Amino acid sequence: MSLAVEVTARRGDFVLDAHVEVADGEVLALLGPNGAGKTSLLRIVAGLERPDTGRVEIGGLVVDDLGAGSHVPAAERRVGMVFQDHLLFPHLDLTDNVAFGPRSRGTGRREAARVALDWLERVGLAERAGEQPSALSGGQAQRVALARALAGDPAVLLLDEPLAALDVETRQEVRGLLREHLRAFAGPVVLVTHDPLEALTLADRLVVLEDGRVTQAGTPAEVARHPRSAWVARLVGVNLLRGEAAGTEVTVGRATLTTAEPAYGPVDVLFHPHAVALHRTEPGGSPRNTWRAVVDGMDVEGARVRVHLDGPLAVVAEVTPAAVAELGLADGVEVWAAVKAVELQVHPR
Amino acid sequence: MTATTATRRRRTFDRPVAALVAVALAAGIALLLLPLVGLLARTPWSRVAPLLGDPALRETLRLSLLVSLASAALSLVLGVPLAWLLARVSFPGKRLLRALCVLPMVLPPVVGGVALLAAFGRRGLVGAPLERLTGITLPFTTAGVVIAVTFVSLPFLVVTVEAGFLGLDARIEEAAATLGASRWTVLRRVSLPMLVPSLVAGTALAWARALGEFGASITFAGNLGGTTRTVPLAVYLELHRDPDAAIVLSLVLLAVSIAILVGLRDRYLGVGR
Repeated sequence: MSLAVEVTARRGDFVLDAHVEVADGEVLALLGPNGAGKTSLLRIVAGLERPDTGRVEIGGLVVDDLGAGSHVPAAERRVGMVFQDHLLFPHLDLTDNVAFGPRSRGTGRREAARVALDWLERVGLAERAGEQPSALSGGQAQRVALARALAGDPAVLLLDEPLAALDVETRQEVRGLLREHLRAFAGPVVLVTHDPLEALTLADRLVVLEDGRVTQAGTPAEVARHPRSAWVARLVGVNLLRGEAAGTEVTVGRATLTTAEPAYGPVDVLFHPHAVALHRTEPGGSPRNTWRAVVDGMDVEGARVRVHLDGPLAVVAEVTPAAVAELGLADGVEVWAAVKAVELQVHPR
Repeated sequence: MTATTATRRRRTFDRPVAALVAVALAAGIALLLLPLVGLLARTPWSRVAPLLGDPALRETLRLSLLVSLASAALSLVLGVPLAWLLARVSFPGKRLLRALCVLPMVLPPVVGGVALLAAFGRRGLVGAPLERLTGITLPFTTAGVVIAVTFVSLPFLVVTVEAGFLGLDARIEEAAATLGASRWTVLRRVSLPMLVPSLVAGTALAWARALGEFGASITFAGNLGGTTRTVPLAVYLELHRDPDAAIVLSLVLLAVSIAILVGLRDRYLGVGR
């Protein structure tokens, strides 16, 4: 494991007690409600905060070991960090911003400028190299912040809600770029987010942090399908299917789904369980996607029942207890499932 | 609701009170403005050029410029680390140190002069061993004037720059740290460049205060022409010999003060940054 964190930290009444490991090349999303301790955990890895007990290991180097009383300060850890509000240096142009990491770690001025230009090129902003950060849009600034974090050749990449401050359209554009660079990064990546879409589409593995503790860990598909807490169910408990798009048709295993927006190549298809309607007989009318499924377990969550369906598509439907009675739902019962094309969100992978 | 509020406001600001407030405002503005008007009215305009050409006055102006600039530079060198310490490091006794840094602002300068004599005078706590070991004495020297005026003007720089540090987003310094920058590199390449407006404002205020310092200087360094007689001391001296000269010198100090205020606009003391 090239990032291993096992720490406790007390902040007033709040106690963070977490154990997280991330492999080289793996993207881990730390998901959780506000105040769950996600950012604290990230800051501990970066060396900006100290844990009360435990240890942190980056790339085989112990950077915090409370048992031995050792603490490597932030500046001497090889971390790259992207903050929610970019935090670019307002008095430096883009080249000097991106060259800051290499320069601080001892690279000569000219070589650092060359590395910076190379990174600006990779995030598509080379032609803006001489401008000040104030001339950039939010999305562009965040792209420079990513370049700045990566230019220092970090052993671990940490992202603290990198898309949260952006508007919806910009978010989609930066998310695409982020995905590309997270894939290309050789070391471990930790992405803090409270946006399930970000977590599901960018991460290889999710760790859910609630009230300072890890409540669930697994692949996005596992966590989405079997959320272990109400919070996870509400936010992450969506249907996530991976398929191949050709226009408004997406092939998922043996099945084909019709979508409203055209896309091409590998995609993630997301839709909420309450968008899945269940019928005893084949439904007529507008739904473009209907298939026969078998009920494979039900979870009751307050006034909602999550019905797990087996068949050509493994999905979850959310219905009321009244509907369960009306449809006579039970394990092994055959039903028709239907989803409208407009309910499917398609995200290129 | 609006009607009730309006009625209440009218009642609190009823006539006698409104009249008192108006008198207080007029008196306040008059107190600030009339001395300036008086100074301008009494200025012997025809004598301004010849007086400013007088070698003794020119020597005084030169010395004042030298002393105030040296003091501003010294304030910058001594004040920035103090401001950084107060804004960015937590340690026991911090409140005490801050009080100590601001004390000269409220202390009567003449008391500062007496205290400086007690410390750096020829028989002072530090002054006596200093003279014995190195032969250097500070009272009644130009260096002594620089020390006296810096004692009084340093707080202006510390207070302004500390406010600048506090107004700086500490997370941008953290971002620099995650990029491998040591504390010193962060200060040199991030904090100080971002603090340039505060540094300029603090230095200008300290310089202006140094230029006008009177009490601590005359107490610690005396009033020796060509060595320790700065413009404010000359103003005081000339008032008894040649009031016209005193007025012309005062006019010079007034012009400098106004120039600094205009130059800084509302950036002084960290307000309206």
